[in-house]
Amino acid sequence: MSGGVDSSVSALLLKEQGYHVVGVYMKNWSKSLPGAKCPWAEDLADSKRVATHLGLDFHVFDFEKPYFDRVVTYMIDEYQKGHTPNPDIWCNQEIKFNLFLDTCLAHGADLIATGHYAKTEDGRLYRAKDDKKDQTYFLSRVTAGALQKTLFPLGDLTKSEVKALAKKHGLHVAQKPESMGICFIGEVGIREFLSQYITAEPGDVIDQETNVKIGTHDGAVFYTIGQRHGFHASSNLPYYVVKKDIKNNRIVVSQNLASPTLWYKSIELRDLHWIDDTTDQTGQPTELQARIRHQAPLIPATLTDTTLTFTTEQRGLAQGQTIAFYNDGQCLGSGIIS
Amino acid sequence: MIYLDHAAATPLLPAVRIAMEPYLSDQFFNPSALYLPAIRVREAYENARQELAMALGAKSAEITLTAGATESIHLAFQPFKNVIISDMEHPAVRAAAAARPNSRIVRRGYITEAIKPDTELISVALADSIFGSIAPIAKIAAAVKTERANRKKSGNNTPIYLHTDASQAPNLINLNVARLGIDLMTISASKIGGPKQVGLLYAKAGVELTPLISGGGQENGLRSGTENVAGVIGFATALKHAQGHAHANQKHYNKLTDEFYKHFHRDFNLLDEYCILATRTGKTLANFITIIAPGIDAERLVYLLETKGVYVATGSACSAKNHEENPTLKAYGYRPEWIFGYLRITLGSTNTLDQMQPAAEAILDAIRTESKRIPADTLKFIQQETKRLAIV
Repeated sequence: MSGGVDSSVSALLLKEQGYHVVGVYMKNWSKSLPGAKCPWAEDLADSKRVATHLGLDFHVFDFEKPYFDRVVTYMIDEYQKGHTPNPDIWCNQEIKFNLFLDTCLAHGADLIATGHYAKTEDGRLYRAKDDKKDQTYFLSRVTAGALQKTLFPLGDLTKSEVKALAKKHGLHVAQKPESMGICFIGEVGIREFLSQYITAEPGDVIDQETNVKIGTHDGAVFYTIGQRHGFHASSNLPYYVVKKDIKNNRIVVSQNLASPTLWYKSIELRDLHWIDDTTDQTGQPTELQARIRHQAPLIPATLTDTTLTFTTEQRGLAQGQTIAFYNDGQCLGSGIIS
Repeated sequence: MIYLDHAAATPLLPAVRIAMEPYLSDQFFNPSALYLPAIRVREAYENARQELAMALGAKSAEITLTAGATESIHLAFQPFKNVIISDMEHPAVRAAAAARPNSRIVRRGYITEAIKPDTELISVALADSIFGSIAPIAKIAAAVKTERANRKKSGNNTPIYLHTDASQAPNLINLNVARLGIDLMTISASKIGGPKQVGLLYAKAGVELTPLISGGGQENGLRSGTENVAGVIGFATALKHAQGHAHANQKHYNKLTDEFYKHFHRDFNLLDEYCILATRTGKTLANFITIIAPGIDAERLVYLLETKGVYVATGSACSAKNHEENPTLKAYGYRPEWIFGYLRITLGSTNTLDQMQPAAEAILDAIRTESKRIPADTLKFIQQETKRLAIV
């Protein structure tokens, strides 16, 4: 229970369905950053209040160290390499559906449940009824074994239905705004976060067309391919980051949205993960649909070994980014752009 | 709503609001300005200071207005290097002491024995905010006086002063400074039906203070910043009211607590005598009721009670969110099972006799609900310990 409306309503629904429910708050992060107070104490109080109102036992799991070692460190390493990792996906893979699950099972739980918008059956992962909220992209690196021990009570509900349920049952979190920014830190941008761990130097911004320096940036690691804002280029026309040169701390930008460096028809993947762990023996699917980021549309694509070829060229692909694989309603797994 | 957390905050008394209102609108002038309407405001402000001083048996010049008790406490500590505080102090006193070059925390009962030749300041809350336990301040003041006399005889020029944080006390204790024998005293308006962020420091003539905030030189240079005119005028009304009603309040709260205990005790045996009422010794403020429900997470009691419109506190309000063991409770030797089961009820102006039965029943109900969560082995341990401690 994070203290938000989704996990609160999940607990409520499970209780109504007759499960013996125990609430757990995972304390993954408690450090405040400049300009952003970490809301963990408020979130903990919110989740404890809901658990109390629902009459649930409640525990706090302190995962700060494993979270830092397994998620934050990975994230910082990736950024330092110039990649764009997704900490939410890593949190699910390493913490929620791994350490948290194991800890719960060790405490005597039969199943775990989270407030994700997703569905699961027999260790398979399916998209949620609410397509706008579907969170299977974030769950695309979870294992079948973990899913067999997992309930997603919100899979057949829309966000507005969830909010209405919270309101109907007098849960005070009904009106709580969605958390923004980085999940575990609160209202803070990635740049402010990374600045704590990475010493970045200002560097040159180069125009791809003219190969001329047109401005400076705060550190190449802070930028993402396809990003539009955030550097001091001396022009009013929008520039897009098309290339990051981490070694020389340079960013290459272009005003041309059609710049070929922004668009890829085909990409190389690494660390392919299949939710169904028999896929390695049965052979991975060749025809599938790909999702290049949370909430992005499903794009038909062909997978040959580790090469993914889209039917149409795609923009905004960065190293380290996760591509999730689907077969219509089912999420099959994912790979990382190499 | 049954509000049982008056040690945390109080609603403005109607008379306080009325007194403040003109100074929030028509009489908005800066008291430092030269024109007549501003001078009228200055007069009203100084008059309020005079009223505050009179309520304490002090002189106007001995009163410095601050933005609340925390600032008052820090202002009191600022000039001193060697300070001793009791183990029952509010976090503001702990922090002010910790900021001094040399500070010690000592059991309240032994604080005068800890005085050393270089000790400059002793600080003991008149009544602490955890149990409402009243300190033997006159006894401590006498010891300080003796120490002062001894130093004079031996040629030790180090002054020694006694500060008291009286924030919880004005509704029930006569704060006459001569009677208390203190040199410095902190009072907060917000605990007695006055506005928040208004407080005062009484400093006996001769105690040299040093400012925390400099600027326009207000408050005799001790606290710069445009005066909180309406707040201070409200404070004066509230303090006069508190001191004027101290005797009546004592009787009133005794009656309310009797009623509360009557209904709490009636069902008490249902709980297998595992729940402790920690106070009722006569040495605590009459509006404090402390309940310790060992093995229970009192935070859950707060959440359960809020659904019934009953509002109570765990720990002192400032430390409730820090998820640490309350240092005062720890100082009392309570084990964690007891510390986390601490519930504080503080009665005040919003309470009536007929609220006490529903309040007691709601609290018992919540304790009964939550007691079912205590693991069997913990419960057994708690029952044995409780019989041994039996403070009821």
